[in-house]
Amino acid sequence: MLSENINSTGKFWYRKNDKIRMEYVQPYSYIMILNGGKIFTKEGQKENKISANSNKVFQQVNRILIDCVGGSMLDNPDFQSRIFENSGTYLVELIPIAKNLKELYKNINILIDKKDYTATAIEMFELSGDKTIIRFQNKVLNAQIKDSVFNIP
Amino acid sequence: MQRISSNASCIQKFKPDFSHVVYKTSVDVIGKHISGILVVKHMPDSSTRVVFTNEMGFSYFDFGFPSDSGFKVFQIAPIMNKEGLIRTLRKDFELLLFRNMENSKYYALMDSGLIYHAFPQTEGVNYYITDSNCRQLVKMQRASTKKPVMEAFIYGGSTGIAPDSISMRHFSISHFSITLKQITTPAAQ
Repeated sequence: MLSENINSTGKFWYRKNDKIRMEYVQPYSYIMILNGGKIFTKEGQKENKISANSNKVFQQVNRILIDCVGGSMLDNPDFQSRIFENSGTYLVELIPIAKNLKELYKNINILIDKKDYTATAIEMFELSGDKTIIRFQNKVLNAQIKDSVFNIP
Repeated sequence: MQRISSNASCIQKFKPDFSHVVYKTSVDVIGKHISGILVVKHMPDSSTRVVFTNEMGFSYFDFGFPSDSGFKVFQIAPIMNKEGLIRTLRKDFELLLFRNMENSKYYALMDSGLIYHAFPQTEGVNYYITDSNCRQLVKMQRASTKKPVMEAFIYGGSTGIAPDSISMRHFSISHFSITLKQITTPAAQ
């Protein structure tokens, strides 16, 4: 539907096995924390807490992000996969098998840098033809991250 | 309220330009808060598309409004796929997009110095409420046959210009409000 890009920028933290903090700075302030099956979001002053277990779709989308970054996507039973490569990159193409995910996504691609086997991008293609791309830049691997980064208030 | 004589065409100058605009959007309903980005865009076939996605790109809904009349759901998240909610959102956007404004059914009412420009719908009435000279759009309102159901305020919009912000408050559904604030988008590819 959109022929233009809407760009957001921010920071991203991941700790094995199930902790993610995603913080947008532009175009507006937004925080999302995934921690142990709980989802916390903060947009401006408004906070929201959801247990991913309370909703199957949230649970599955939660798992997609953690698996894509954590490298366990090939073990996710909700998708079938194919892998392609060029000289510098692997492309893992994931096609949803689960019915409810098939209604949301046509496919999801993960691009993996052959230098360090980390994800450089996650591309989520919707049935409408629109897509969301999360690109990871300026990565710092195996750094110390304070526990408080993933704390849910 | 008193019936008065007025001209339906005076409302057209308040019709915002939603050719392509992106809003940061917050929805609060029954203690829950969801946020995301709402895109309103005129398509090459003259229809208007309204898409609401969260910050992760997860689409809550994708609605289409054909140029003449009608409504299509291109996509909707399971959590929102409820007939009553879809009907409410459809009617809300039809009010904002200045749709279903048949001149033959138009009438006007005066109350407390304001003119209620009324456009009857299949169910209820859409009101565009202006000052007595029809120079300022004070607010918009959806109403049943008996009482207001929703009211909306737009700020900064007019012919050829998309509103800077929009707020909507529902009366019939407790604590259901939607606020939109325009954000800048990069130029088209």
